[in-house]
Amino acid sequence: MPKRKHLELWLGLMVIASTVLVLIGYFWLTGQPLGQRGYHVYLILPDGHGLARGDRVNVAGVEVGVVRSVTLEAVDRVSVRLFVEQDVQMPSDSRAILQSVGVFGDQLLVLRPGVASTFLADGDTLELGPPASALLDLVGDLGKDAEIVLAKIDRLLADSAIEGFHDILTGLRSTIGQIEQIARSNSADLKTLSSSLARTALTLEETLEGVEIDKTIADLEETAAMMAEAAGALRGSAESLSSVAAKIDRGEGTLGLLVNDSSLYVELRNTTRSIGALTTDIQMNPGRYLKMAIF
Amino acid sequence: MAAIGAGVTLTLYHAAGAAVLAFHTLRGMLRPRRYYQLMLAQAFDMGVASIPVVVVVAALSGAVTSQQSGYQFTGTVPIWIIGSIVTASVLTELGPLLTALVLVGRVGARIGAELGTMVVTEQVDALRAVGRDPIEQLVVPRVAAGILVLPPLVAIADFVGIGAGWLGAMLTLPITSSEFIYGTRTYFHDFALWFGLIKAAVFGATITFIGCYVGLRASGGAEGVGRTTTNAVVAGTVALMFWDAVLARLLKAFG
Repeated sequence: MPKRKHLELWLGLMVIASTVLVLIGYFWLTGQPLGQRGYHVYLILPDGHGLARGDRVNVAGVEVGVVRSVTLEAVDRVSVRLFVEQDVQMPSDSRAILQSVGVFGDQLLVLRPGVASTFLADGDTLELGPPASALLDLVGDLGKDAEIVLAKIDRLLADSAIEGFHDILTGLRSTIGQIEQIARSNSADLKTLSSSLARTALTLEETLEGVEIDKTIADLEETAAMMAEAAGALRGSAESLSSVAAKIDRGEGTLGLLVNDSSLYVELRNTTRSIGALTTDIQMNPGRYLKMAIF
Repeated sequence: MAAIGAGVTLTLYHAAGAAVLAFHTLRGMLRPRRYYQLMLAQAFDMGVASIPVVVVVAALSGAVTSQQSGYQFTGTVPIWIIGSIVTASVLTELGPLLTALVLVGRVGARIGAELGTMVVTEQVDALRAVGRDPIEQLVVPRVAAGILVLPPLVAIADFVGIGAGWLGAMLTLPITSSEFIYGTRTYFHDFALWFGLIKAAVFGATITFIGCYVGLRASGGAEGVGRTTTNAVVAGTVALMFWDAVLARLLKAFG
């Protein structure tokens, strides 16, 4: 039956093609290339921290596998199944570390190689390492800081630095002695200068406490207040003028229209001309406009 | 009040009729040898012959989704999220639903018209007269063919839709290929893929079953056949939307 064979062939092709597409799409979307060889290892965690199937597994910053499944076995026990590429041989005492990456808190599993001579095999269970690299990084930072501080202390306690301190102290002592000697030899001049300064200060004080100065200051204050008031009034006037000028510029109001609209000017001139002509006509022919009749 | 009562009575009448037909169809499907030959012809017509239109619709829907979401999200969220949106939309909704809607117009209407014509020209009665079961001869092969071909068609539509979404994003949006791929993988749940295919099988059964049910109830000559065709498309579309809503709840429950 060629007809039947023809139908079966085409339908079979369609089903096979779609199945292949689904499989390719599935493995591609889950990040598992078809035919890739590798082994599975397990990791038991007390908390999954959002780890999900498809999350990456890295070794030394290179992607070497993928999280195949995350299963909650008990309320405090999460089993994670990892796929690791065949050519990545990890010592059996390697540890896994959870790291958060990206703005959405995606998780990344980092494998830290151990030192054992045997390697992880399919079905083995990994140990969880310390949380991320944060602790190690912190220890590293602290070590660096301590090194810097120690270097500075070393520099401070060096022999040359101590000798420098001795020289500075000797110089300081000599300077203080010289200042004492100068003060002793000029004590009479210093006393005269001091009494003169005291007299000047007294005179100034008397002048400042005088009645005339008080009156002058009061007058000045009154004048300043009046000027401030006048300035306020002037400011108000200026603002009003400015507002009026702005309205005129914008063409608001009669004056604004007159200033900005040339057609008004033209119309006004025409009207004036017409009134002139009318007046002349009235004068020439009053009978047209003024009727006076008794009956 | 009387109109409401008549409406309820009519609904119950159709529900009972559809239930009886569904029962006979399921029973008939247990004997594949009897309808295999007939099913092949139907499946070819529904499946292989529908591939071009399904591919065109899927490609356009994928490309439009990527562009629209790109315009909406550019500058507000990471651009790679477009890959996630296109993949999730195509796998869960656009792929199955648009393919099914295409088939409602192409297959549901044809089945309604075909069976309606057979009813009004008394060919169905003739089948009964020669001792053939019309349900086994007409309904079962069509419903089985619908269940068989919709999932492959949806798989093709998914593949084409995501591919077109990727291509559309590359050509029109400031996104790189690796960003799009990162997006497709980041929020991909494999249940969405399987769920889309399950939905496709349900849609295939729905389209063909409703076409058959409406067609077998045709009456009134050529005018009745025309009305039957319209009813098959309208009822099929409404039923698809209903299943889509119901199955979405299941997706939430199991996904």
